[in-house]
Parts: sequence; structure tokens; C-alpha cells
Amino acid sequence: MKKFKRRLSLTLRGSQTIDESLSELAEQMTIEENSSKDNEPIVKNGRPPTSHSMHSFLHQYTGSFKKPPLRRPHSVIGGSLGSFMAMPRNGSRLDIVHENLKMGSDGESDQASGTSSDEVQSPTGVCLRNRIHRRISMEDLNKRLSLPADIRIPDGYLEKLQINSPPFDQPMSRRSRRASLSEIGFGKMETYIKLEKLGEGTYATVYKGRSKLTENLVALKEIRLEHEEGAPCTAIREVSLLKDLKHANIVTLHDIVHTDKSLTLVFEYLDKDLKQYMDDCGNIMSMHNVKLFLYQILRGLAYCHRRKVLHRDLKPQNLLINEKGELKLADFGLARAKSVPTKTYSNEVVTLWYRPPDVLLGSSEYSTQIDMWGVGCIFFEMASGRPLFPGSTVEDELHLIFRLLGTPSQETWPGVSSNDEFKNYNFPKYKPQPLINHAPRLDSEGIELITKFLQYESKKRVSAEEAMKHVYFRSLGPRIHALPESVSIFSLKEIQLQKDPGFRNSSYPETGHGKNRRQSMLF
Amino acid sequence: MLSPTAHLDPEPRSTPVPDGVPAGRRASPGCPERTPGPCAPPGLEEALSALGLEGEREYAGDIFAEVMVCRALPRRALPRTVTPEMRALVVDWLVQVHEYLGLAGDTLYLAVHLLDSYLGAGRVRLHRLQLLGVACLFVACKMEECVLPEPTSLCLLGDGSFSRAELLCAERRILSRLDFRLHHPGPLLCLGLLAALARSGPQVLLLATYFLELSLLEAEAAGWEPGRRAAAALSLAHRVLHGAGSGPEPALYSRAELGPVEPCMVRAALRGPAPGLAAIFLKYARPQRQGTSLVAARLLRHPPAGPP
Repeated sequence: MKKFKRRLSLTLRGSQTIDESLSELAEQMTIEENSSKDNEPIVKNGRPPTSHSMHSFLHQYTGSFKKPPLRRPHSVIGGSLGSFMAMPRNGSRLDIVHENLKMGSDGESDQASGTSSDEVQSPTGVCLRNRIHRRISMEDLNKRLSLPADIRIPDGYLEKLQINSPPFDQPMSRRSRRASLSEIGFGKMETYIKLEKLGEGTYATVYKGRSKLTENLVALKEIRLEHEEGAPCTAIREVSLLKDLKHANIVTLHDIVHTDKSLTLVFEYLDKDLKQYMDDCGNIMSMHNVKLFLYQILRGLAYCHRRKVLHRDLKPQNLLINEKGELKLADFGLARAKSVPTKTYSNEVVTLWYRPPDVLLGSSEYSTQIDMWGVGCIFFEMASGRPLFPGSTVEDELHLIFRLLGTPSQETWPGVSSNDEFKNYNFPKYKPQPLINHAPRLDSEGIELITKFLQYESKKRVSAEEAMKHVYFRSLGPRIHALPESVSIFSLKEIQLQKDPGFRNSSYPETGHGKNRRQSMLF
Repeated sequence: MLSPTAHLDPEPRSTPVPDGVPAGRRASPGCPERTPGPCAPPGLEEALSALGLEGEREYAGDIFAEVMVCRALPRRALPRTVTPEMRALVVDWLVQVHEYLGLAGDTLYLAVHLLDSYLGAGRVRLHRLQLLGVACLFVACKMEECVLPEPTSLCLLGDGSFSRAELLCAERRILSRLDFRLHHPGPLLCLGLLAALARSGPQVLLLATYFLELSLLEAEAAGWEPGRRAAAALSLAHRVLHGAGSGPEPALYSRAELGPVEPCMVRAALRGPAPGLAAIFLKYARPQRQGTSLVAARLLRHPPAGPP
């Protein structure tokens, strides 16, 4: 206890410099390190093995400090902040001497607030000083809260706002903004009506729904919260990524409803995924539409890759398409912002059919190029109407790849001959086959582009950015490259979807989409 | 070149956008698809290769722009109830938990970033500060780590001062208050890139890593961009090891811009194992880290003669 108070008061006296000779310290330190190895305490009571040496070292060291008088030993923060330092377990209460005596009024009143939206405080000072009596229009409100243009504000909300809101020309604090949004209905489950179940997975159920605010259809991805672990990593990563990704070719996250039982992500609703789309047109797509879809995949992906975000799970089920032909990347549960390049991930991330051979052979190096192999596979699938490498096991998958593109050798793939897994499989030596035989509908430019995606060496694969400039897309005109990020390519009048030759007019437009659709939204 | 001060505006420009509305700065119609980033310094692609990122040469400029020009938190005072000393105490404890659990470097920086964001966004109950800290670490692990620490083991490390239910509740509060905006490219990749660009040796890099980590203890450091903190740590490490005037000219920041960042690192390095703030010092005093903190303190006291 005493030690704690001493330590804390030392802390609070501000930075303290040490004048003792540091070489002594160094000696002590190495002795401590060496001696502590022998009698390392077993990890018990949550004490790290290191704390022993740390403690005795500290103990010796703090002895040289003079005990300063204690000041105001009142307020207490959390029990055992310091117990980690291997202070005596009993009496490891941490007293903080604290400068602000008024703390009780602020610190304790927060008690009741379970979620932050309860912590609404009206900025009263501002209100009184400068109230403007003009009518607040819808445009004002939309601009202020950056709401979608088609939003329907509940009746009476504007009147209420008129009475108790800070003047509109003042910037709004994050908290009062959130309070306003919550009042409108964001972040509340009551705002959304569940219509039908679209699919169910281990962690999540996806419903088609409707927003009472916009009357628009939405997709509700309801994630059951694990009581053991809290919000799942995949959901946390997906949401935090999507918060940063705003692009015409990336699915929009409208809202999040977080309760203690579940976390519901509210996405924009798109009619079908690419798998469904291909099924609906009997796997014969218009080659023009193949080009438009591929361009949109690349456009969304280039945007992600520029932000160091890898999708890592590209497949037709994860590409959503609306009736205008706008294609959007979805399901970023496996994607992550890649901040540490050296980290290795489990290599079980990409669906087998779209997984690049380097990953199949055990590479754990993840770069933006791992997404590009999958793009090649999807491109082929759209053009030919069937999956390129539908392997059922890793060996089968590699076998299918090598049978078409040729078994790699040290010349065609430097380093492959020293890969143990590759050696163990002992594949027959296939010769590469011309791709055109398998996708006869692709023109020579398309074949050239697909070859650039399907490179064994990941660093040789063309990037999304580069691929968009390929001559294959020249027929789309120059303006498509200059579009702002949030604008759909279909805003250009020269870009139009064509009728797919194989499209059969489904007489059951809704029920036809069987149970297995929207796999994409599931974990 | 670019002026980092331009990124120090007091209010974040992109306040939480709830709903399908593209964030303002990216949506202004007419702006080209690729906004020009800061110009990448020469040798950047080689530097990326040195970090094992040769696959990303294509995006070298973009990555550099994002990592280096990531904005700092708005300079906002801590809540009235929390003093910088208390914050330092919590961070010090987090450093120990982080080291004990063997977590990745970025996780620590993200956890402290989340803590600062949370503290900057409103009040906090004082006796919940430790719980808040560990919950931030837990969320950071969910963002960065492949294997999560068990919530129960985190509770154990807190010596029973909070329960698992309280930890999960705190997590929910963090996610809600921060509006799920959790992504933050920390300063470690910046440091790696800058060190590779400057061809700094391993000893310089280790010392710079130490200085950078020390800056976590300082509340004011949250107000500087990760890139600037990394640049300051590297420049300081160069000078401490090789004398004044050595080291590369900083690529992005002028010496004057780095000036204000360095004192907090020097102060912390000289403070040594002050009670309650010793974790980083002790961590870097270990043989595995070559006694870096001891070397640093000795060199800071007796600076070597400058290069001839």
C-alpha cells in the first residue's frame, strides 16, 4: 500500500529524472535477467512471469527515491492497475491522487449510461447565446447530418428540432450529431422491418428488410453475439473497413444496430449475386456485360488495394448486382487493413476455386495480388459459363490448374522446385494449353488480359489499377477512367447494360432465388 | 512537399457518416478518381521491397500516402477527470499486458489510439479507466491479431477488478462511442518505411522503436500524426547514436516540425524506470532488446561527439 502511494505521488509530481549512474543499472538489469530465469514463478493470479524480475528490480530502484509527502489521497481508480507490477496481492488497491477535486460531479454521474447514445448533453451555452428563429428545412437537416436524399424524417421531428437545437450554422459535436441521428431512428431495430430470410450461417442470419426511414429495401445481416467473446472479429473488421470504404462498387453499410444480444448490419439491398445472375441467364452472358462487370470488379478492388485492404474472399457469391447492372463487392469479413506485412495469416481464407496456386502451396505471404488470381477465374467463368478450376481438394485444385496452365518448373516459376509441398505432390508434367480453346467467346485482348491475371508468381500478376487501363476496356471509352469514386459507371450514357442472350424470363422472380443464394452475406 | 500541418485541423472532417452517404472529401463530384497523394520519395519502392512488400510496388505511392499522412487525433484535452499521469499509468500497464501476452507491435499502438479516441470523445468514470484500457486492447486484438486472448485471462491480468461481462460491456461502449471507426495505421509501418528509406541500421531502428514506444506514455503525443512521431523517433535515434548532424534529412517533415515531438521522448527516456511508468524502460532493458533503454539513457546523458 505504502509503495503504491509513494509510486503514485511520484508519478503525479511530474517527470522525474534519474541521476544515478546508468551503468550500475545496466549491471543490475543483466543480473536480474539471468537470475530470474531459475526461479521464475509459475503464472498464477494473472501475474506474468516477467513480473518477478521487474518487481525486485523496481523495488531496489525505488528505494533510492525519497518519499514525498502525500497529497489528497481521496479518489480511487480501478482496483489493481498496479498489481501487475507484482505488488502484494492483498491491498493492491490503487489510490490515485488527483488534481481535480470536483471530479465526483462529472465522473460519477456517468454511472447510468449503458450506451453512449444515452450520454446526450445539450450544448446549452450555445443554444442561449445565439438562437436563430428561421425555419429549418429538410435540406438543412440533410446537409447537417449528411443523410441520404431519399430519407423520410418522422413527423414532428423538424418541429422538435426547431425548439431545442443549437443554431444551424454552428458545427455540431459528434455526440449531439449521434443523438440527432438516434432520434431520427438510426441505430434502432424498430426502424427496420424484416421481410424474409435470405440465408443462414453459423454466426449470422441474413434477412431482406425494409427501412421505415427511406422505404428502401435493405439486407439485414444479424450476427448473434457470442457471450464468450463479444462481437466477432470478422464483424468488427468488416464494419470498421466498410466505414472507411465508400465507393460505387463496394456495398454500402447503411446502419449498425448493436444490442447485447446481437449486432445487425444494415446493408443496401441488391437483387442478386453474380452466381445467381449467371444462373438466370443460363450461363450465357453478353460479352459486353462481361466487360462491364469485370471493369466494376477491378474498379472496386483497385480502390480497396490503394487503401491496403485485401478482399481475400473473392467469388461470384460475393459480388452483388442490382437491376441496373451495378456490381458491388460484398463480404469483407475476411478482408483486413493490412498494417503489418510480416504477419502471417492462416492460409485457409480464399474459397478453393478462386485460390491462387502460391497460397495453395502454402504461401502465407499476402499481398494485393492474391485477389487478382480470383479476378482471372471469375472473368473466365463469366465468359465461358463454367468455373475455371472447380477443385474439391487442394491437390485436385492444383491439378486442375496445372493441367490447363502447365506444370510449373523452375523456369516458369522461380522457387517452385524448392517448395516441399510441390515436390511431395509430384504432379505429372503437363504442357500449357491455349486458353482460347476453353473460352472461345473471348477476343484476343480478353485472352491477353486473363493471362495476366493467371500468373503463377504473385508479383507478376497484373494489379487491378493496371488492368483497368488494359486495351480490352478501350471500347468503353475514355470517360470511364475519370469518374469520381462514388459515381456509378452507368451514369455515363455510353455505358449501358445489354440483354444477355441466355436470359430466360423467370416466371418466379422472387422465389426462384433458392436457399443457397446470399452465401456471401454469411459468415 | 507536403505540409503536415494541413492535416491538423481541429475538427475531423469526416464525422461519422451513418448512412450510405459517401464521406464528404471523397465524394465531391468532379474530383478525379485518384486524388493525388503526397509525392512518394525516391527509393520508396526499394524500401517497400526491403520490408517484404515487393508485391505492393504498384501501390507504393498510395500506401505511403495513407500511412504517412494519416491524421492525428484532434488536439483535445483529456476529460477533466483524467490526468496525463493517470493515462500514463494505464498505458504502462497495457504495455505489460501486451508484452506478457506476446501480442504484435501494432496492437499496442492501436489500443492506445483507441483509448485516446475514447477519452477524447467524452467522459469516463475514473474507476473504470483500467477496464477501459484493457477493453481497448481487446478490441485492438480483434482488429490485428490472428489469435485472440481469452477475455477471462484478461480479467485475470486485471486481478479481478472487472468481470468478463463488464469487459464485454465496455467493448460495446467503445464500439458505439467510436462508431466502429477502429482502423488506424499506426506509426510502426511508418517507422519501418522511413528506416528503410534512410538505410538505417538495426541498432538505430531498435532505438527508434524504443523512442516511439515511449511516446505512448505522453498524452500530448496523440496529437501528432503517426508519421511525424515515427520520423521524430528515427531522427532522434540517429542523432543519439551518431552525434548531432548525423542521420538523413527527414523526408517529410522539417527539423523544425520534428522539434516539438522529441522532448517528450527524451524526457521519457531520461526518466528511466520511474515507478508506475517503468514497463517500456524495463522491456527495452532486456538482453533480447540489447539493453536499448540503458544505452539510450547513457547516450542522452553523455552525447557522443558529432561526426568529423
